[in-house]
Amino acid sequence: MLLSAPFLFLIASAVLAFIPQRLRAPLMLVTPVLALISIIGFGTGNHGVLNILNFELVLYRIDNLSFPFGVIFCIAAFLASLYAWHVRDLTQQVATLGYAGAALGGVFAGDLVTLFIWWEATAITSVFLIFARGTPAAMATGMRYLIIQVLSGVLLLAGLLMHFHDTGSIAFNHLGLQSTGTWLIFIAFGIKCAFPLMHNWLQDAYPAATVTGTVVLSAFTTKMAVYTLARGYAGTEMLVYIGAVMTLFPIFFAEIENDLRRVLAYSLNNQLGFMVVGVGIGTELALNGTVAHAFSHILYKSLLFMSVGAVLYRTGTSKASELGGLYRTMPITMVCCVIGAMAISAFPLFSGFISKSLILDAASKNSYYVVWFCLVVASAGVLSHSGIKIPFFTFFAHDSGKRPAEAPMHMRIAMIITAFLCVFIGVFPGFLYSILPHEVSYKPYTFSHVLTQMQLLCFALLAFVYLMKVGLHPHELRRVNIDSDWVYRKGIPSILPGVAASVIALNTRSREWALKRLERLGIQVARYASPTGPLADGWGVKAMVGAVVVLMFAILLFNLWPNA
Amino acid sequence: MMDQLPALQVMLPMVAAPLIVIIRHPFWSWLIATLISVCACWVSWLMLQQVVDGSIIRYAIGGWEAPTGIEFYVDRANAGVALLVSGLSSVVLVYAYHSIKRTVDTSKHYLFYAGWLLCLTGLIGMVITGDAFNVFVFLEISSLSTYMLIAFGSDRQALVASFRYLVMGSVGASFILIGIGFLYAATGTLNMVDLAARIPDTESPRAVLVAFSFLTVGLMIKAAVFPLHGWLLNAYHHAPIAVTAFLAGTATKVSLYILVRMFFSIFGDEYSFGYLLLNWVLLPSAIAAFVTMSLVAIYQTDLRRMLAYSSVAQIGYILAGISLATQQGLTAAVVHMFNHGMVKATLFMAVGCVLYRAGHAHIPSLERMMSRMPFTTTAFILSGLGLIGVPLTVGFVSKFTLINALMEKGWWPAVVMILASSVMATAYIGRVVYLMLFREARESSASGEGYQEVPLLMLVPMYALLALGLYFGLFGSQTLGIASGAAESLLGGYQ
Amino acid sequence: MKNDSQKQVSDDSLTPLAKRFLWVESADKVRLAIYILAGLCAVLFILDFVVHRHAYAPNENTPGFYALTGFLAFSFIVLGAGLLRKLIAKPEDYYAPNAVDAEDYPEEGLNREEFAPDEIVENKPGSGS
Repeated sequence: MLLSAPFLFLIASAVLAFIPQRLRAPLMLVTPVLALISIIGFGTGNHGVLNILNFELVLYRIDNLSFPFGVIFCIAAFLASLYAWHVRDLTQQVATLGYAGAALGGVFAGDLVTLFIWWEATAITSVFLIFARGTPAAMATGMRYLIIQVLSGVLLLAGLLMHFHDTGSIAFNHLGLQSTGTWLIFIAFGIKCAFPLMHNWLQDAYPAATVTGTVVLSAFTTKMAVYTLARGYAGTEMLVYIGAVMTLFPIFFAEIENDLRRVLAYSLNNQLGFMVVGVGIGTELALNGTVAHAFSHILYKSLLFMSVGAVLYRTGTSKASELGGLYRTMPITMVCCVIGAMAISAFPLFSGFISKSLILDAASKNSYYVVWFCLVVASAGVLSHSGIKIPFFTFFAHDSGKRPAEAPMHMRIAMIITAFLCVFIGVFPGFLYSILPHEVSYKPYTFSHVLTQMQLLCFALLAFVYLMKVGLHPHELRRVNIDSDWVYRKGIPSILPGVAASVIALNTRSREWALKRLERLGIQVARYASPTGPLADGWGVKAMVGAVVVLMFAILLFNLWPNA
Repeated sequence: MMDQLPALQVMLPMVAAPLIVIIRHPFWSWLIATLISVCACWVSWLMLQQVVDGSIIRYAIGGWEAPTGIEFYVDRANAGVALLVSGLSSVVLVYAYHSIKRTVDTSKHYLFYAGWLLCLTGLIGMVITGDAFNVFVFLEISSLSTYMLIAFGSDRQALVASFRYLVMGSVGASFILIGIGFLYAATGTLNMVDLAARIPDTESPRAVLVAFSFLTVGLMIKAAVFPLHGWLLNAYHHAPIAVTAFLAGTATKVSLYILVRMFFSIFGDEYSFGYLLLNWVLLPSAIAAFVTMSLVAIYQTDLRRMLAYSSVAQIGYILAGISLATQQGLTAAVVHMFNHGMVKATLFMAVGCVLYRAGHAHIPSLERMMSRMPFTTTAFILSGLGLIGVPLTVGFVSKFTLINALMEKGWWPAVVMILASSVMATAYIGRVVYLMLFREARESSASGEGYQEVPLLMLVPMYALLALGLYFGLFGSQTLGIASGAAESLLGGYQ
Repeated sequence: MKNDSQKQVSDDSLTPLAKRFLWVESADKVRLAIYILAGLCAVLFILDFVVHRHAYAPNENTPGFYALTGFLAFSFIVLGAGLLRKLIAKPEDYYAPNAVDAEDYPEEGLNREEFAPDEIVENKPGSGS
């Protein structure tokens, strides 16, 4: 069992602390490769089945659904490790491997208890990638992130206990929304999957992580949540509508956000929406779409985070208002970023095209026309914020005068490999399709499909050009935009002192009251129960005979009443 | 020989009692009483072996077949109770030698042991007889001898306690007699098997109901069911401690057994008295018993009185099990009869040891008993844990079964009450244990000096019983199995 | 595009890859690119009338459906976002000091390096062009 992918990562992350500096980065590169070999080597089936206290724990379940997630997690861990080759901070390195291992563990968990343990482990390991930034603001952000993640874990625990009470089983298979327990589990998954109004942790935390940390963060937590939803709630219709809302609302925020890493975080949220719709539809085609989209999404989203990270690494900022014209000195980063942007915008021949269309097709085939239309609109939106905004305002637009050097060699290699994969998957979809959970008969490259997609994108581009020319396109401003997390970041804290004061007052007063009552009660009890009190003493013959008479009367009454 | 076991069981102590009176020698009377008791215990063990598989012994006295004659009727349920009674009697008698020598004038020892054997005769007779009137006769035998035994208490209060018990016991006995009379009038028979067969077809159900009511109240008095428990407190408090240990383990249990037998075997749970009585009289009184009496026990200053209140509370548990009228509830009741009998007898024996050395059982003066009387204190603490119902002890086995039975029927409030009373039990036992283990002796208390352990003859029986209790706590399934069989026999009625 | 005043690196010292993108500095060439895009759009739009497309959703088969959707959706999103900003934009230090928005990225996590022409020579060409 120590050779299973999650444990390989955990062991490696523990070993990191004890080996010399120069060996750490290589070890981080080797581990994902070994883990991938482990996944393929173990093969389909339930491995690591433990029976503890009548609970059947399945530590390593490899099947059609978990396999593709395992593979892409290993690839993502490899690419992120390569991208982070320069990092000397042991905390980040340990956290990266531990986090990737925990996410793999969650994906391969065959029961809810094991899932819960890994679920919490992802929270605890990943937060160090935010703390590693080292500023007080990052500490505060990390704490917000941790609280929400742990809350999700607590809900999962509560849900699994109730589910166990209801069904007597902790197996993690299809759950469905059928009881309070499964609802709680659903909400726990929803938090990690950044459902609308549960999404704020994502946009809050990811831009606060380190340059490399954000790349790592973007790959795992949310996709693990997508996997668990696909496992437990496939075909839950509510998810279709949740997903549709998820694809739409982040677009607007992304459009006006200045911090490009936060733009990408909103965009990530929007992409999750597509996957959630796929889970909600729940047909074979839709689930294939979800898995395929998660797979290609991890790659191009990593690529985008990498390129923006490289810019941040060289210039010290990732704000659109401070950037521009970088194509001159960072052309390779720019080209990779454009490839990532085209992949996420789902241009034909790029990975997004061959995965997203599965979900759109599933939506229209299952008559979710409104949802389908939302997804089409959202696709245009993806082009606007990720496809155009990220590369255009970073590398073109007005010249910021910054002339940073090209990204370091290892970052370039990591980006080029990732970019290559994005294109490769787009050109040869068969490779990705062959590892999807269900048989794929889908042909992405039909004439009408390419045509419609090109129409959509080209006319959206035309709209962009038009709006720029007219001057209606919003300028990049140094602003933050408040989201629903305002409620707990500003709203509640602002009324908190008053509330706290009244709570304290109420507490003191009620406690005084309760203590007084308790004291009085104690005196009463003692008076009745003390050796000379009426409960204890006073059982003279008269009282006893009285009791006999009363009881006799009662019993006679009870016995004769029905017959009287 | 084996055929005569039921007769031997009763005859042995009955014949030995006058023999002791004739001999009059303190030591020999003790020895004879003990040996006879052990023999009775052995006989009831043999009897249990015969019936444990579910078979029944019906023994016609003097060859006069029922219903004309009187018969003994032995099945799994009452063989077990008989074993409990005779077994406890034997163990406590061994223990009683030193304890009684200290409190009772030597010249009266022969009377004491004769009374003890008569009491044993009465209790066993009540248990195994198959004749309703015979129950009354044996009840009177045991009651009269009990009044005498209580009166042997060392302080003057013992006489008052004995007199109060006499009054209440007489009221109870006459209620029972009235009940039996009504039954006879309604059915024309006194044999219990016969009664069970005739009651459903009786022509005067009203009379049967009245009989039933009188019998219920009479037995509730004898069983010290709350709120008819008043006699028990003073009796347990002031009687010689060996008598208390014996009575606490047996007397109330026997009455409860008769109550159960009457409810489920003679009248039948289908009979018109229905569940109204069980649900609206017995269960509330059971709950009131274990809640209020546990509460009161917390405030007691005398160890004996504390345990007496605790006994009333424990009877509440048993009654709660009975009032469920289910197989599991009755199993819980039966197993708690046994477990509580053992635990409470052990506790009173430990108190007796304290009394033997310290001369009092005043709780606040029991500091640092652990360093003075380590064996006694250990025994007290271990059985105290059993009384609370800590897991791995007998108390846990029976409380757990009882809670299970209650939950099976969905009586959640009662479960909550049991848990609450368990917390109170923890409080009253814990208070004593804390004092015994940790509290530094106050300098001023002169009584604390120079206690020694009690004689071996007191320790050995106490530890034997304690070991038995611990054994049944660890291997609860054995007692549970027998109890479940007994419950089956009781619920099944007479064949 | 206004560039000259700040520019310290001459266009000649750029890498070959970067030089290929210098056309974006020329207003004429950008206009040409826009014309090409417009032409492409026109062709794509006309194709709709020529080719029969598979369709599941209602109206999906209407000629120009995707073109119109793309154009309008994009415009709606951009303009809608502009309006949204009027509602929710706050100064950058709004959440400070508990958020990273207003702070600079810590220098120890960065490697600021200015462009130096020589350094790029070893760069592998043809990464994605």
